Amino acid sequence: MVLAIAQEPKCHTPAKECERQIRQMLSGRRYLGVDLDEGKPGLVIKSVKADSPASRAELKEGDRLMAVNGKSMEKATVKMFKEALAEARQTGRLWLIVQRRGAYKKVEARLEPYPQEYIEKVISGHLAQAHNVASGGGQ
Amino acid sequence: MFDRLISRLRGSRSGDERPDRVSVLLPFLIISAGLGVLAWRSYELSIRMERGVNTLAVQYAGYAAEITARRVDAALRAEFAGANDQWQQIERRSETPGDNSVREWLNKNEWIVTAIYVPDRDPASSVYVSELPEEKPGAPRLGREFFTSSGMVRYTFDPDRLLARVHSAIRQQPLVRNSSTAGLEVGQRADVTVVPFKNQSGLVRLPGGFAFISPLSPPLQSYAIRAEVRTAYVGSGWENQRVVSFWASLVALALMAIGAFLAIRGMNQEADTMRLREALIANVSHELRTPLAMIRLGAETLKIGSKLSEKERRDLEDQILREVLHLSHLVENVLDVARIQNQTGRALAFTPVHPRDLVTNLMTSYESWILSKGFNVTVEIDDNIEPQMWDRDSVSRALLNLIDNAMKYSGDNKRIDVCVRQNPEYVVIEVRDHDIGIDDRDLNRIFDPYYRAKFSDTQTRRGAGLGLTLVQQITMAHGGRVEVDSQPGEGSTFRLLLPRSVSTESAGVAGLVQSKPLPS
Repeated sequence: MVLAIAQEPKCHTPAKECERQIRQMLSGRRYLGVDLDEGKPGLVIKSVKADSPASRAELKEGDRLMAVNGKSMEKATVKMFKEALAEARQTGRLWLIVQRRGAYKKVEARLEPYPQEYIEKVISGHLAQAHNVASGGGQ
Repeated sequence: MFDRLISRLRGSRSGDERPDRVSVLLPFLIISAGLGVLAWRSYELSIRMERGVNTLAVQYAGYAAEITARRVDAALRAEFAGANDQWQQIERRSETPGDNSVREWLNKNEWIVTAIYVPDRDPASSVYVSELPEEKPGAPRLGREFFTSSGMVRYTFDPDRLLARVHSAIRQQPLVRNSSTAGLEVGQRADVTVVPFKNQSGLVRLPGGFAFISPLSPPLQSYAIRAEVRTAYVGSGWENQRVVSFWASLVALALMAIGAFLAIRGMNQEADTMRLREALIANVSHELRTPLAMIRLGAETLKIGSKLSEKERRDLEDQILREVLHLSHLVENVLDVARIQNQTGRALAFTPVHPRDLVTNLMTSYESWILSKGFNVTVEIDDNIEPQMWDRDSVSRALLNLIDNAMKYSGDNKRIDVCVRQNPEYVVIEVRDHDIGIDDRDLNRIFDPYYRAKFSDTQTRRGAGLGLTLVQQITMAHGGRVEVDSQPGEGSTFRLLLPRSVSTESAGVAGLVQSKPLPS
């Protein structure tokens, strides 16, 4: 708190406007909820966010993503996977082929919007950081 | 057209009516036809050139707009890629980019307004940074996103600021370079601007040129590049030569027309002179020959005729005398006309003359001649007339010619009235006969030299056609004029109007003034 007072507010935009902007930027986005690493061949799942579409699709840490929606991911980068994800934004459906402990498995996942509490958390975090507003205030 | 002209030329040549006119006009016609063709060609050419200019302008506008739009697209892509790269660098430096990292990134790319970094690891710990207060609430904002290995960055940016960054790409003039014509540079330019795109791409016709609108690619698809090419840049107006060629050929044609007119007029004048000369030869030679023949006949008869009676001899002598008189009269008329026409020889000698003396002297000296022709002349003179500054001889000659004329053109009614009177401006000498009169058609030609009225058969009415010419010239040399009233069948009245001298005292001055040769 002392630190926050010492620092002048970093964001000159009104707090309301920032909030609106964040909502707009995050809402409507779909996410899967996995953290990936490039582990040739394929992409290795580093972590799976709890209570996310990935966890609901029963993706596990250490799974190797080999294909997404018919596209091979054997030599892909994380960026390419994200692009494939972005392409699937309209339907929100993903058909993944994962290699788990040597066995190939077909997984169907459904992209979901960011949950409301995530957005609220981001907003409150920004407000606390840049606008000197006490966190937890919500809207 | 030419066939007809040539046939006309030939026809006139064979007909020998007026061969000169066509042959003189022919060069003019040819030159003006050439000029006309030339003018038409240059006009046509200038139209074609204008069309070419328009085509060029349209093409260049399209080219400039397309090229610039693609160039701006490339520059924008480079900006986006640059921002992307910078973020990658930041991400490489710190495993978990925080608030400060995003802020640093924002400061490097001043056209980005807000950005949010969503890490894959934990979307709830996204970092949002907003730069710069809102200057204008309604300013357009465009969104864009890219993915990194650890997450996603979404940002909004100000398109105006971004376009300002790539301004150099817009300013750069596209040049037409052709490898096949090395060194050739098409000197054209277009005004290239960025305009909001409102669903109308392609060519727009402007009053003085063309504009081509080419939209930018997404995400700035609501902006377009507009290239405007004025045809004036390519060349029009005076450069276009249409006005110049048109007016130049018009002036040339006008000059040709003037030249042709002058040539025709000169030819007409020459033809008049020729006609005069012919008339002179025809009339005068005839008139000279007749008295000479009479004189010769009389003299020969006198020489061989010893058996002639006294009366016959006297008649012959009279005849010779009359013919000599006539001949000398004729010669003097010709000489006088020539002299006055050419303004050479002696100028008129103005001396104070009393009109009454002049008329009575003339009448007494020619009384016998007049009476011998059976004419009855009545003279009426105003007594109040003062002496006038006249040339005695020429005025007498004019009056005599008028009387002679009246006698010549009288039939049975042999009465002539001579009347001298004055009005405030003129001294008027009037000679009136009472017989044939003058036709309207002849009336305005009787003063022409060698002209003789059509009805007059030259056998009975002798003369060279110079009498009235001389009268008019003498009168004009005195500053006066001749008036004619005539009714065919009733008789004619000739009036000499000679300006009055102001007074006896200033007669000398008036004489000096009047002795100047007057234009005839």
